[in-house]
Amino acid sequence: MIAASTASLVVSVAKGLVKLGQRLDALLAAKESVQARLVLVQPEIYSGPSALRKVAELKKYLSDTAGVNGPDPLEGDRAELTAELKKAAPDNAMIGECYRRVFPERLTLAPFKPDAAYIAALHEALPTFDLSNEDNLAAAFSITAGQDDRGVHYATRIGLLVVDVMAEFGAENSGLFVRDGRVKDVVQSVLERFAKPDLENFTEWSPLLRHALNSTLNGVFDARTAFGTDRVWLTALLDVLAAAKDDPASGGDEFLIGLFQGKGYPQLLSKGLSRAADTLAEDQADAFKLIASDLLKTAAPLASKSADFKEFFSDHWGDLLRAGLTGLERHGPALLQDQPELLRDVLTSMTTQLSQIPQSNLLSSDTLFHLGDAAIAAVAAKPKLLGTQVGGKPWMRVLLESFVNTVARDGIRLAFSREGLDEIVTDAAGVFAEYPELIVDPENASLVREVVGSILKSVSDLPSLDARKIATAAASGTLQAIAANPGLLDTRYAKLIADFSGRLAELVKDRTLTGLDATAIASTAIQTLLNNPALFDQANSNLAIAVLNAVLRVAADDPQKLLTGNTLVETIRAVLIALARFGKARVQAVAIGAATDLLTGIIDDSLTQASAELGRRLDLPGLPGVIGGLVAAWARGDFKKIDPATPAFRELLASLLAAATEQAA
Amino acid sequence: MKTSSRFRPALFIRWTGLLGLSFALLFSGCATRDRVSTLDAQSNAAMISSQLGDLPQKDGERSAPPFTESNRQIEAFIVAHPGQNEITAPLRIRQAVLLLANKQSNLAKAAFDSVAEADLHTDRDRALKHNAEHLIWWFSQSANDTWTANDQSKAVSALKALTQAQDSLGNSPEIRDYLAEMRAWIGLAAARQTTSLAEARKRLEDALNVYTRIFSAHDFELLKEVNEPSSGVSPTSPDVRRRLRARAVLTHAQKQNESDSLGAHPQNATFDAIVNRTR
Repeated sequence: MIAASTASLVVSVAKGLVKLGQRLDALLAAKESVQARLVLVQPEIYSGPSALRKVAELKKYLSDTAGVNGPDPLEGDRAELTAELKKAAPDNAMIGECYRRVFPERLTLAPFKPDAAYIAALHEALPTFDLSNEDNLAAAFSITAGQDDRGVHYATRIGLLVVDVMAEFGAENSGLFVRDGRVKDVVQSVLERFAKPDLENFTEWSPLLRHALNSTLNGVFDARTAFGTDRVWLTALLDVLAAAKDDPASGGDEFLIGLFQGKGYPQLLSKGLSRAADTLAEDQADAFKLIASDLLKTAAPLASKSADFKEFFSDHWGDLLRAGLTGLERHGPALLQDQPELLRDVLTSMTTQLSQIPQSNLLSSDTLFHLGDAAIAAVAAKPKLLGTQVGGKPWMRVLLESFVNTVARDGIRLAFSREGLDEIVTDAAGVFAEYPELIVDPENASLVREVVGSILKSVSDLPSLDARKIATAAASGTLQAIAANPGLLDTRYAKLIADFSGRLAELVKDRTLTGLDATAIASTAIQTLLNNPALFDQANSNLAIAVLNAVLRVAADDPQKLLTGNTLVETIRAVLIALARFGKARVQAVAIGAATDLLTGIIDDSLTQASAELGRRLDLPGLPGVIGGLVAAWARGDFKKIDPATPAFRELLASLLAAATEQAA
Repeated sequence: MKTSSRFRPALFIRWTGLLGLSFALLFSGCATRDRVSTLDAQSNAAMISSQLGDLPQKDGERSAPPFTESNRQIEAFIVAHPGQNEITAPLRIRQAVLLLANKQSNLAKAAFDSVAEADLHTDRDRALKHNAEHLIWWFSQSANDTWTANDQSKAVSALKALTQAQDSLGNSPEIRDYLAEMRAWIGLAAARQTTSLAEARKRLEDALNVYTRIFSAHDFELLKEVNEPSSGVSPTSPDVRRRLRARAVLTHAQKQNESDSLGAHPQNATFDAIVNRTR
């Protein structure tokens, strides 16, 4: 006795086989029709007299029959033919017609048969080849189909047919293979979609793979209820995507595949949702759902207008949502409860503006994420920011353009590797996200271009790795400094650092400095300048550069070469600190050349005195402190020029050496 | 009868039956493929028959159906399979060349016209469809003793189009060779259809110069021989066919060059030597 389930299975198998047989027959028939050899023959060819011969024979005929009485086949056309034959190239059609009338018997020659000649030649060359055999004869004349312009060949299509029928069978009988009810729904849903068109009709790989991906994604979404509700954020995201997919404006099934062809989904899941699920309240999932849905719906028509933006958005939609989640996490329920539309507006505004900015695809995932985070934070602090116009443009656009333009400038883009530039700009965006107050003032929306862009430009002549190190230290340090001291925005601080970075770059390029030392010096200078920003800002020259030049000049002239590596960096730091504290009177009003000369003199003398104590009352790490102390005393006006013989100087030196020893201890 | 404890006859019979049923169902449905295969074979035979006369038959074999019957059967099949363009489009091309070979130009044109080029996927079928206009003209006029001005113009178009076809079909040498040979014949015919000696010489040289492009250095070496070497070659290989058919073209060109005193000299040395060989 066969069980009902077995009988059902047998019927299902039989149905599948019948279907397979029918479609296989159609496919094999197509293969036969397309690929079968085809006998092609050449037509018979006229082999009678040529036009040249006809002309000669007609001329002779006219000559031979001139003045002869009797029936004339040319009748009234003789005179016309005579005239025609006097031409260099008589009319072929007329010659032919006259010839037919005069010499009809000469045109009865049997036409030439190229195929018969071929058979004769074949027989002569290969007498053993049996031409009475129909197959041999057909083989001698038939021609193969040649190259097929389709990417998927028949063998593969037969395989696809089998897969298709199996998928249909699997969709109808998924319970046989999968016991877990939830997984079964997913499998069934995917297989149903996969098997919907006849797979063997795909003749190119691209649409086939697209269909496979589409079926899988949409099948999963169709069965999303099967995933359960324990992952509330995942459910929320799936609901959002399903809603966006169902929106007619989004392009339906194609919308999903457009989103998923990039990196958005994995990044969102790996970096965003799992974290959000741990830290945010479940009831915020609904709010997120609304925000995400609006973001996707806003993006859909924008993406459909531009292929570039479509690709960009499919790469980055996850980054924007992740930034939204981070914003939610950071600013919490207040962001949703007080102004629930704010987060949505930031994200949709970003999307809209990005779609209008050329080269926005130069922004990397991390840059975009930090930018989103920064924008959300800034708007959370000052909601009106979103509607603010800066120079006739929306604030958001100015902010985004500032980043895009920074990385898009040719001089910069060509000087840095893509990864290097990403790192620097992402670092800058990270500072914005950390200190949103930097961009809360609308006028600062273009800060990154002014600060980071200037620094990048100043070091762009260097090999990429050194440039990247200096620029990262300088850009990040400058922004951090500005964030900590907003007053710096009203000074030349950023420009001084950019110029200083440029000078460092020159020194690295001519091998006066190593890239490593230059990076350390840049960090040192950024921090040290903060000790007295006004002094550096108001000086007639860039004092930081004067210090740098002076120390390096001394280092170069020092026969012992003591000022290298960390000693060099620390000496520059010590001199900068000394000037920040006491340099107003001595160097503020001096031009850079004179300042450098002054500083060179005092640093050189200081080095001479301090180095004489090495191994006695001083070790090398203590050297910068002693030089800095002597420069500070000079700047204070304790002496104009070092005189080692004076008791005051000996006392000063002794105290500095003692301090250095104490510090070392 | 004692059976093994592992062997269960009822189960064996059930699954064997199921398997048999499966194969029966699977392979019972290959009628369409078989039908197409028959149409292909019949039309090929009819094509040869139309060109060479009735095929030599062995005892007991029935003769090939006339082209009309083959044409009728292809037509009936196409009508019975609407919407299956992948199957029917190549059959239409087959039908068209069958009709061409039997001087049914209007019907051949109708057959060509009813195929969309997008439904054709092989170099051979696409090339035939693409050059249908020239094929139709040539098959209808090739045996004509006198060309009109219109024929001269169509010959120029055909020579140009077939040059392009020849140069673009390097990946499908058999159809390339066929069209190249056709171009050579048209060129030689055109040389017979001018009353200017210089023009006739130019046409003959052009016909052979373009034709040379399909031959390899090895081909030229063998073409220098009076006869095709018979050992170690497959009689139906494309290379052998190309050379044997070329010999007919060159012999014809040599006669034409000699009888009309054209003094033509193709650029290729082998061709030049053959065409100017004294008989």
